[in-house]
Amino acid sequence: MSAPEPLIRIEGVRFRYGPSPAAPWVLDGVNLEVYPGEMVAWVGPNGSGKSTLARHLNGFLLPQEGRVVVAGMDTRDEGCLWAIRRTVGMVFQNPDNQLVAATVEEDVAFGPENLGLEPAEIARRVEQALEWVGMTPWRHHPPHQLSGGQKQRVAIAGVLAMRPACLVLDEPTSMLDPQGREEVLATLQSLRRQHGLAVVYITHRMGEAALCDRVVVLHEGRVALQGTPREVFRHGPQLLEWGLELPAAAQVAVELRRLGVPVPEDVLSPQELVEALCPSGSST
Amino acid sequence: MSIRVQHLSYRYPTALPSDPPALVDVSFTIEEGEFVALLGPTGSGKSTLVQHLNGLLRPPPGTVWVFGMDVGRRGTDLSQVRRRVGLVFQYPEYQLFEETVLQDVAFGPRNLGVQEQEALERARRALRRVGLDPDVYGNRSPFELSGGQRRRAALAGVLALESPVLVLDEPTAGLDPRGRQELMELLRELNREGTTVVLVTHSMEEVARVARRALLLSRGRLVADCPVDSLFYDHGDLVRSVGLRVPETVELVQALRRRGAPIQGKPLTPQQAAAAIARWRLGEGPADRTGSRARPGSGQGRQALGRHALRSRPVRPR
Repeated sequence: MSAPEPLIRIEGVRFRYGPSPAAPWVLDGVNLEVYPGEMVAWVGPNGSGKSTLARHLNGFLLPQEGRVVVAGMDTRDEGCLWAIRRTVGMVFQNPDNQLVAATVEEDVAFGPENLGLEPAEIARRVEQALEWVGMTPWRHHPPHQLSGGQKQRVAIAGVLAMRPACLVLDEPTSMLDPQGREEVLATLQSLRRQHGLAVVYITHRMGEAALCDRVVVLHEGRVALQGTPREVFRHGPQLLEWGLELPAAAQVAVELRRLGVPVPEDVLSPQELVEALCPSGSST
Repeated sequence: MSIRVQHLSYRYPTALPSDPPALVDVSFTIEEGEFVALLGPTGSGKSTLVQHLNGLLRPPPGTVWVFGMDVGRRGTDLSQVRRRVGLVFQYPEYQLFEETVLQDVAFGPRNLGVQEQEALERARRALRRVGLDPDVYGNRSPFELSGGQRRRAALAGVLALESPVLVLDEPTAGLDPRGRQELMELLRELNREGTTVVLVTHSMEEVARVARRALLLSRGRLVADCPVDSLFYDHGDLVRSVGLRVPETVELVQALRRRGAPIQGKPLTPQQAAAAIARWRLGEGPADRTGSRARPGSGQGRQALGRHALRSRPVRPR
């Protein structure tokens, strides 16, 4: 099986804020792909360039060196800007800043209305987007009555109504309670699985990154490490040195090995650690 | 005692008749030197409650007492209350406004009537405390700082009040893992030096790491008041039923026990869990091989039991 064609190609991108040549490169030669239908976590300490890179994916920021190509379109090509923004939708941290209308339904319709679509088409898209994020029962509610997780799902629906091929979410759960976080993650996983969307998920929570197909570690403006969660979290000491952490079960496993209890090096979930320590079928 | 809340209820004046009240008959006492986590899902009343603790929302007389002062009584000097309870809001860095970092941090004490020289001295101390050298950062504009530095500068503004009680509403939201760890370490240090800390957070891992006692709110009611280890090990169903989760470490230990592993205590952090598992797998004293023996999981529980066991029982809604 040949590797699929990437949806987004980031090639040798360098970027710094401000005109001064003395300003440090925030992105210092990033090469990276996003594939159709994958859920990829971008992790890295503050200042590693994650958010700056995310803003390159829809042409909000343009590379000063190198290029970003989205579905064949170079983000520096002004004529492609709107097509790129329809292809790559962004969702941010604070749900309250993203919802503008009086009802959930109107909020989700905001984007497609701006595209100048037919009312019937807008209605179809709104209905489908709300269905996909499981918010149809709340369609007539005012957004401020919703929980944080519900608000983020509505914000996601607003982006889905533009029919993007890729969703980019910059710490969408950092202001949510645990249930809200689970709702948002479950929604993203179902969008990826059932509707083939590519999802770029920026997070500081390694437990969430471990649930993605692929993890990219950014450090000082470069891709420092990438692979499946299992491949990436195998580099525990290195990640800690970069100021990141490990999923809880992996932390316990690292500590157990240090104490002399043999457990596999690539444990990610509590279930795996339980299986390693108390194999099912045997009794202790 | 430093804080005493008795039968506190509150409805926002703007609430519709159909809206539920924000707080319903909440009662608890916080002793000096405690480290208390205030937990609950979004909308459970945490932020409303903490705003009553320093008089930002004025409670009915006789319901909130701070070091013997009745916060709701007419005639109580709220600046005296605010000297004792420092409140760090969510995203406090949005409130930096002075021209320099030092002036911003000195604003709080100055506003409470502290003399100029003393206010500046406190500001310098507070900045050192949060890891910002006042000689390097003091004269910069707050807007020249990075996000994490701005958060620390804002925190310094409250530390400069040198209040015996510190209340923090989601202080780690948006920080990276290292920033979170540093902040938790600072809070632990302040607490060891005697500051009473009340931490509002959605991160159960943070609670497990630093707090000894937990207050759990759901729909404006206090549904649990007990040691943190007891909350997660003995009342996990309650925690889940209000929409929160127990730390993954606790889930792991419980899953091992279900398979018959005789793990002792109520370990809360990955380090404590690993030590407890190692004691089961290797027999006593496994941690000796490294020379840095992890604190036994039961230690925290016992500490909490020392002062609260008899009074702290989960309170269930009637």
